[in-house]
Amino acid sequence: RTTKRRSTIRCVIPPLDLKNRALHSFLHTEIFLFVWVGLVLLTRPDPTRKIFIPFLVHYLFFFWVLSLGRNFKSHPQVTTPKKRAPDHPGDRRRTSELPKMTISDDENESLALFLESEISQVSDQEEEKEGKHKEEEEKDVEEPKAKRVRFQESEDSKEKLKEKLEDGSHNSSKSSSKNNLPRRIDNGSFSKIPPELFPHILKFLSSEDLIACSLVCRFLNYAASDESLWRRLYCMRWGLLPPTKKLCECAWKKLYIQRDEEDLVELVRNCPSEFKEYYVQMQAAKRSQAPLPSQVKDDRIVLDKTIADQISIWKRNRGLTNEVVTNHACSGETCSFYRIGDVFVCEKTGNVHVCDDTCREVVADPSNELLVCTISGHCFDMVVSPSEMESDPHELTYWDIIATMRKS
Amino acid sequence: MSITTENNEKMITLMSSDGEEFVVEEAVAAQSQTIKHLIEDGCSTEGSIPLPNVTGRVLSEVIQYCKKHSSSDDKEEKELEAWDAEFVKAADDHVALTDLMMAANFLDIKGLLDLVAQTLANMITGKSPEEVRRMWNIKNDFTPEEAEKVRKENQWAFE
Repeated sequence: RTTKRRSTIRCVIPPLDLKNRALHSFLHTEIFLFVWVGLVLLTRPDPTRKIFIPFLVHYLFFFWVLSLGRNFKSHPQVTTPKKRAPDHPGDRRRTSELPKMTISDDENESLALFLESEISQVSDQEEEKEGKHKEEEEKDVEEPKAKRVRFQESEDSKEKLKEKLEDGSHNSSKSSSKNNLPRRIDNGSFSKIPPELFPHILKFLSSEDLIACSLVCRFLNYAASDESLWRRLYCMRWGLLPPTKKLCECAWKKLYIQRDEEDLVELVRNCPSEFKEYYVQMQAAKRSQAPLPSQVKDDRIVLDKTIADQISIWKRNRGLTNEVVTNHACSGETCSFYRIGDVFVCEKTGNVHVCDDTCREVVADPSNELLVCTISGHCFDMVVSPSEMESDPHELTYWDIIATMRKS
Repeated sequence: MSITTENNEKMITLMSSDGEEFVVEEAVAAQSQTIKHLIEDGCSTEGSIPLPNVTGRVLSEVIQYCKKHSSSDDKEEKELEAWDAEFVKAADDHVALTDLMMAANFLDIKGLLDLVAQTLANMITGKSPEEVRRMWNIKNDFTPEEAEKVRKENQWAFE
């Protein structure tokens, strides 16, 4: 505040809006009185001259205050000025009352502040009015455009909100496709495909192709930016990093593009300039690496190293190889699973399923409107907050419940 | 309606949305998790199983797939893959593929769903956004501002 005040003091011209009529006339009166007092001071003989000195001081002070502009608005003295004209019908009357007051320099100051505050209030109000007026005018002129922009903004924010919701919730495409804005493609043969099937198609694509899909239309942009798709691609290329804060906050897609750039920059920096182009091409070729069918099926790719090690030890003990069995569909009904945290390993084939927030194996159970993972039997509410999903060691899975129901 | 044939295989009758009936072995029909559940719940004992979301043309293809996959065991994997490739080639226009995919989804046949999804994905691979739009007849619904924003978000370094 003080630095601001200093800078405004340096600026001699007060930042006042002279278009403001009330302020304009008020200033006119003040200036007129100032000149008049000055003239009287110069023409009168000595004894009376002294009376006018405080006036002069007052006006000097007044102009100084004006030069400070409106920064004084909330000055503590302003709120309780000692001599205050009870509502003032006209500035002229108030200034004409001035000679009757007993005047000291202190009072002058508070009065000046008071006057200044009056001005600032008036001008602020006027400004507000003018601002409103302008806004209205603008609205009239650009209403369609403005409306459209605002509409988009609200849509955007909705989308963001939903994305957030989706990030937070532990369910996948099924719930999000219901809530999300670009719900489906409007025309063409793709329009027939229900939104929840798109992840099944897109999971076979490379990062390069996903990027191309993003540019096709709104819906595909949404669908091709899916977290689990990009997480898989990221982990395929770089392995899983320790879950740092940065990783959690950023979308996997963004991380992927960033890491790709970092790699490229690093590579270009260390290579001889004549090979630069080849290096860039080589690096760019990595973007077109699509997940293999086995990688699509097996979630081991997204595991961190310690769990992956645990799984291979377990598999070795059971005599299972690390090869992924492709012609076998795991289901909670047909297979039994070895479980490490969120990870479910099929005891028959050794296929791995990670049943966490990006679980793609869910189907909607029509009887209770829950999303159920076909492998783990985890029930996902349509919208679940992460805190609710804190796993309970004694939790019952869908299959447990079905099993008990069948027994009874 | 359940009929028992000579080799003691239970038969299931499936009815498509356009009223066509298909009689298949239970093991073939049970490739579909949806039908399997229906059989377990005892829906198949009286009359045929109606499949309101699947037309006869698509259902015949689905059954063809299920027959092949229930008859061949794990050893014939290579041959099965080749057969799959031929199978999706036969349904090469994407309208047929999307129908097939939706049927596979409704009937919950994982293998078929993946097969069709992979085929559709292969059709997208290596295409520019404009080519994808043309192929699937998708309208570009981005506003100029959005297009710019999306372009920025989806940009590789050194492009």
